[in-house]
Amino acid sequence: MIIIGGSQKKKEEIMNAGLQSPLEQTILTVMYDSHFNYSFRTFDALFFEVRFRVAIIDSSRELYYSGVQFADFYRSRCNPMFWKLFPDGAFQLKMGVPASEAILDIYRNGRQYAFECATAMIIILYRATIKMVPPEQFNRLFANIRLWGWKFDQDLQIVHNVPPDYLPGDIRYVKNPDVNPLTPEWQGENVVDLGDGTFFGHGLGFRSLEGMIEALALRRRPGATRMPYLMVPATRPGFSYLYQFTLPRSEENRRIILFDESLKRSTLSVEDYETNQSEWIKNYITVRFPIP
Amino acid sequence: MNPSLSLETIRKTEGIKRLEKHVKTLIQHDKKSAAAHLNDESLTYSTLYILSSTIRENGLNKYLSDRNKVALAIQQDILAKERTPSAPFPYSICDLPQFVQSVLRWMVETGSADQLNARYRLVIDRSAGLLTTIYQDPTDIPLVSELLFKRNDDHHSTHYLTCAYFSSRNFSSLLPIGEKLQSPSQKQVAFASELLHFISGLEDSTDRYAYFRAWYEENLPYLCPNENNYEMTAELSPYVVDHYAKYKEQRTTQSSERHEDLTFQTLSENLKVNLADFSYKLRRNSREEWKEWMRQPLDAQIRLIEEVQDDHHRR
Repeated sequence: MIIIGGSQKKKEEIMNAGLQSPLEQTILTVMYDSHFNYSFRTFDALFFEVRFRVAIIDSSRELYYSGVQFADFYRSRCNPMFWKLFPDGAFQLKMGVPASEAILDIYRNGRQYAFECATAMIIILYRATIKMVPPEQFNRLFANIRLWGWKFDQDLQIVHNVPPDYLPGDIRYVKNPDVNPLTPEWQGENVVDLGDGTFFGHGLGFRSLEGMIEALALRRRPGATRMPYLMVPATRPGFSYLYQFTLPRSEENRRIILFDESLKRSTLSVEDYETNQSEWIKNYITVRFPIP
Repeated sequence: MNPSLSLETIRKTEGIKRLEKHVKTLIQHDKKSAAAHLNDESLTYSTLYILSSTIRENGLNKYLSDRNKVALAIQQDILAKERTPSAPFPYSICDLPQFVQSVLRWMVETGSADQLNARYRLVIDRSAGLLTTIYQDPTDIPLVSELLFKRNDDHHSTHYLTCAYFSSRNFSSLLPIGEKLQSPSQKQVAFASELLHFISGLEDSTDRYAYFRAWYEENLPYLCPNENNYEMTAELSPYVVDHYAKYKEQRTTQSSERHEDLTFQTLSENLKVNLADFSYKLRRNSREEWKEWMRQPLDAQIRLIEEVQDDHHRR
């Protein structure tokens, strides 16, 4: 079910408040029908996550059509105008280049780039973040990007766990336990759940889960006995954390910072806090005012 | 030209260009004599790699030793876009895998020190991966571990090599990494700590090597291969401690499937760790007391742990 500002909301109420596309509605339906309480402080915070998930899916499709190629870390390549290629296959943002422009260049000049599937997932998450967060905020947060597998920038606040529900826009992993050691880049495939029963994996394109498994099975060693399989955890960016950067700077400075039991950080406007102060104090371990 | 000079000496003292020129002159003079130099026991794989196109262009392959023929075939296979069946070698089907292993070991042993280029590193790393993943011979583990640290020292990718290293599914693969915690090189200590990050408490310990040894001794019988993958998370945890096995004193198997009873399964991770650690320490101290403790219901066992911890804190 969906809780907004402490109270349960009806599906129609949420739909009418601003979610229209079929994909947005699919995401909302999964949340709404769940036994898990999806809690948001405001409608805007909910819409941010839903739209971010759609942005992840759109960014996956755009990456596929950008012409970028699949390569292992020995053969990675990038546009030297924006990135420095390290001997370990990592791309380091060049000094003075805005991070948003460098990420967008991957999509504009895809043919100049080649990388592994985990790096592709991070690029997709950055591209989706650009769609959701103002460029000046993005460039401030990710001023020193290095692209290399899952060695992500902490400011994406990536969460990797077994979720209560799988939602479109989740990143999943299909493991290939008997991969041929001559092609270890196929030891598994990071895939984006596109929400229509298909997945996107860099190097394998758009396929059903069975299609992904079949493609990876072809990359197994001779005499392999184990088939590839979808793993249980899912990976998502920290939606609630990134949400705070969508707000104007002056308002952001006036926000309250909350920490839940697992010390996960989120923020709240002073107005929201004051209208329901006792409830916030009860549900959160610490309430801290930012330094003005 | 001094034909008696070894190819290794020429390469080391005069460089790659001079070596290639020397071999071409030898070939023009006498192909068999050129091949004899290449077949020298002391030849390193890196020299063979450098000369591989000269060998191919001059049709020298048929004069090569079996070691060199197999090494060049492995190299060709690793670098090929599409792998194809290899030409038959004069070995029985049962002998061939053993011969291939010995050649792979020679390639890694004599080829690791050189960097040359990315394609060359790929051949060495994949050969090391074949050793640990397919042959899984424990005697190859130190060799591949050294290569892993060398790659890190030289700022090259360690990603696939790390995966291949732990694919050996041999818990003793942790030992050469643990040894590096004593290295005089801070970079090596940092890399060893990164690879062993899944050992809780290691990072904060004052003597990391002693901590690692104690942890290894305590947990070795209860280690299991972990399912997670380097390409799924930023950090690899190749093995995990099976807390249930440690608590019950059951030996784990190499299988990643772990069995727990339902009550144990529902406990928090912290409590599972506490029960396992307490059980281990108690039975080391007194087997009789441990048996007595194990006979009690779970909540009584937990109560005793809390009492002991409380007592310990008061002191």
